[in-house]
Amino acid sequence: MSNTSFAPEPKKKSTIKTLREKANTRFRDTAYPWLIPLSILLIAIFLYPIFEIIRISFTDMNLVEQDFSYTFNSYIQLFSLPGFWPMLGTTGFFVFFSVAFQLLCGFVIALLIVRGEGLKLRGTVIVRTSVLVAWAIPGVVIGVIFTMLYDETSAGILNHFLSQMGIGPVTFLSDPTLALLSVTLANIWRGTAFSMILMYAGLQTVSKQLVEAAKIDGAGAFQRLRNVILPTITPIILVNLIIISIDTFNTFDMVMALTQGGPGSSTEVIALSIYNTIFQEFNLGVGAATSIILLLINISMTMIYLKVLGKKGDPS
Amino acid sequence: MRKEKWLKVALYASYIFIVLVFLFPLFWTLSISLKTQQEIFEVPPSLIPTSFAFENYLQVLETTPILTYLWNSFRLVGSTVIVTLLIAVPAAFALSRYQMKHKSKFLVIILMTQMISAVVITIPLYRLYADLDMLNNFALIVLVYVAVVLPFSTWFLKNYFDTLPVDLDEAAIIDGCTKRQVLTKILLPVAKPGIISVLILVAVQSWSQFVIPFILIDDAALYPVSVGVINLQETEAAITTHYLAAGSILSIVPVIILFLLLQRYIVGALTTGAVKG
Amino acid sequence: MKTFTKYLLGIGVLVVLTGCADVSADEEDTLTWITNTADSPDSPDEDTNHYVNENIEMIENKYGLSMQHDIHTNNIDEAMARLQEQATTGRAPDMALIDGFTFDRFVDDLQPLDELFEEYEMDINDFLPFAQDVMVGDDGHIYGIYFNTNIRNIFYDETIIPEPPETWDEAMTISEELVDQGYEGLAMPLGIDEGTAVTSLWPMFWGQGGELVNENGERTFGKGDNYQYMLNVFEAIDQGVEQGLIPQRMATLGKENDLNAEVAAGQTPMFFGGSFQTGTVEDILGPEFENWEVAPLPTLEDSESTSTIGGWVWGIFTEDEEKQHAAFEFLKNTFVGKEGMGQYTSMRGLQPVRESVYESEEFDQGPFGDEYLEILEEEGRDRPASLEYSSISLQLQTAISEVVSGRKSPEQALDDAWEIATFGEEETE
Repeated sequence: MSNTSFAPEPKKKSTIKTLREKANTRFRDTAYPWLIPLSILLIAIFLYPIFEIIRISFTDMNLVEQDFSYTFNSYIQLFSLPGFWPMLGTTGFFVFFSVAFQLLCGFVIALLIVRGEGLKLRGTVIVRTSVLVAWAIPGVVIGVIFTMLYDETSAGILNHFLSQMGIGPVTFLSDPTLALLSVTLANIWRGTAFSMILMYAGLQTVSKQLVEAAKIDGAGAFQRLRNVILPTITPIILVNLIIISIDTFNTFDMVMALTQGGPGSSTEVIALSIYNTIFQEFNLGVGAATSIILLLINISMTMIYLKVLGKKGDPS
Repeated sequence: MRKEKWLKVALYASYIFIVLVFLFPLFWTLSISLKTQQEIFEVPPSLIPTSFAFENYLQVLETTPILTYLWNSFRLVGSTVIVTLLIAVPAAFALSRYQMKHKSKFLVIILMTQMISAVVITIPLYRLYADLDMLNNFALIVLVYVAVVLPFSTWFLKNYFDTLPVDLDEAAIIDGCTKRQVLTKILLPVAKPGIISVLILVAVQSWSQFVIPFILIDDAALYPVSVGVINLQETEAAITTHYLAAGSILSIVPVIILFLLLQRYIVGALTTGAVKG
Repeated sequence: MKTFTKYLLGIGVLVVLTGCADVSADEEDTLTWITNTADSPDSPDEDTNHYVNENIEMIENKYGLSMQHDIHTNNIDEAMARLQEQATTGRAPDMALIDGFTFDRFVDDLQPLDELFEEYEMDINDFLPFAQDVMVGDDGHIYGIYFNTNIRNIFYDETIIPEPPETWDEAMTISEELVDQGYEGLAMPLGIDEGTAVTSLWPMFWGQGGELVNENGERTFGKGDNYQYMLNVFEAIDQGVEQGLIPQRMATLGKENDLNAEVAAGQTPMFFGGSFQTGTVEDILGPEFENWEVAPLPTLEDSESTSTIGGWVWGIFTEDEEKQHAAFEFLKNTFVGKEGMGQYTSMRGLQPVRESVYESEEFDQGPFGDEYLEILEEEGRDRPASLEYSSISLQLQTAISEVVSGRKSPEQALDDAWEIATFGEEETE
């Protein structure tokens, strides 16, 4: 199957023939000049900060004061203090359920839309657009919007609906467990659109003949889904999975607007924790050390990504 | 055919549910933004405001910097899109059309930068920019915005160029075109859908960008919408729930209008882009 | 060549968008300042907005300057940290509004104002004693101008609560009656923000004799008696929440102003808040406000009444004399001169800090002016200026929020907060 836009170069040599180069390969005739701006920018904005953050993580730097010394303390502090492991747990929960449900909802919605389009139903465009809108709303605004929905007083709309069903009032944001659920739910709402687009794109590649053929062979809807559709879009699901996992690990704008990490620190995800450590406790050292943890998570996910796609993305 | 009818009904039911789930939060925000202060706290809450207090919007427009935030967002996003294309198109072209040692390694490295959290890179940059007294400098901030979307954009475009037949270039070279002319005269016009896809993706991502401006800008008046709304969240002077709602609506209306106008085009571009790549 | 032109055109558009070609802000004829939204020309309050803008125009015309304001970011601790970082690296704006309890940290970078005080005939002795303490540095020079102050107190509806509680136990008893009658119990900020610390924690802690830091600015809240005092506060609040006398959602409200919504909902007849909320509460309640009264915060058993003072101080960073004059004159006219302060605090319902303002006829001290002044003078207490304060405060806000939301026991939350706050420090007894 065709590779996706996000997938790395297939190991197999590209079928596209490159132009025959003349024997004289002067520098200006090579690819390099075209790549200079890209390389410079990436080095300046990624490479330099990474070295710098590693250096800072081995200091006791403070945001406000100028003096510092080199030490290993930031890491010791990070690992030995109460709060670090629960924070990773919170992050894990948030990422896992966000990603799982974004994938699931994205897939289901995309499937429903494609099915509707196949039947020439009206209204698919409306569905598509309403889901997509969530994608274009900045996280902070989503946080604000959900704060209004989750209002715990009797004037809150969700609690009003629930009370009519005889439930509640629900402490959406003041109970630690519920708060984490509420934040995750809002994040699923936010991220489903992106998954939906990718899945939708993937579903376009599913061959109609194949589906028809399976139907004639007597395959039920579920079998068609499992044996024809899913295999086709597996690469795109994987790509989707990695992209949204990493995005979810790195995000904190919505959480900040919705709960500021509270109550207590029950919704403090790793990116928010980095921010708070540095800009509220002024502790650059520990903030940088936490960043390194995030960086390691990022890198290991990338490794998994490359490995998995190297296998699956390779047309066989 | 009865089965198909039931299927249609079921599909429509699911559509209604999906649309409700995704539009209700926005609807509720809109509703709050049109309520008076007393109405906000009414128990039970009413779905539709009785007063339609459009003056809330006037109040927000007059007394908060929401328009400035929007303008800041527009400037940042506009610049980011332009710079990204200026850098990514040539790079993608070279990666698609030139032979090069270690090309696939280079591509993987580019891709890896994509995975690095903006939080991680922004903190050292904050210190650097602060040392240079360059915080709040839009041009430098745009560079970070660009760097964050560049790996993805280059990848996307490279894959897109790969799908365009090489015969096109070869014919042009035979006609005496230079490589640069091949790109600008032959490939760019054909690659328009791909470029538009990138443009849209970059624009949406930059529009929602939070960490970079939040950390690299410390004057609330220079915030883009994606950060500024947090500043509307609290002021000492008044209860602001209805103003906050109005501010939120104002900050998403431009994008929603754009989405409604371009919706067919956006989905088309995104899906062709993603699939062709 | 055509591509080249396009490239240039692209760059041209960029220049416009990023404002590279803009005249930079630190030009000679620009006076930069940073303030809070509420005290800025962007204030959502129409009168304030108008008043500030008018004064800006006056100074701009007189000095031929343009005044350019920045707005403090929402989180005050963070805003102060950033301002301090700017100040130590020489990038601070020409003048700034500084949170009173952090003012000490800025003195090294601020300009002495003694001459300007003389020139503009401002009398430092007219300022209330506590304000003078903040304004005058260790070297005896004046570095800041106190702007307005606020204290923490209890607001209550007299028709429902005839007598305000004096002790915490009384407050809980009243709260129980309220809940029985179908009202909300006692409302107080218990989320993660400074309002929680200054309103719900410090007063009861200090009242027992507790100290957050010692004379050297080192943390003490988790040692010896202080630990017990803090634990008492935590346990008292925890019990209240468990018995349903304090709504659990208070764990999500970190600012005094967050309680305004509770008041507006009409079910909360008693809450802890800041005096600066008076005007807003009046707006919210309309005619019903007549029935509301204020009183000192209740105390834990066997302890005295204290209240956290808040307040804002103006400081001038610029070394340019012309700008110093413009800044000072602007501040005097608008915020800190006798007339300016009187007008501004009356309009906003804030507490002025000059004797003469309290005495002047134009000053409208609002419904509770006398009560506030009494609390301020009898019970008012400042937060420590120590740089450690921010992290102490944040840790304890988080801790109480954990307790209220039921995630940790009072002991555990307090122990954890102490461990985090003091990590790596030598035990010094």
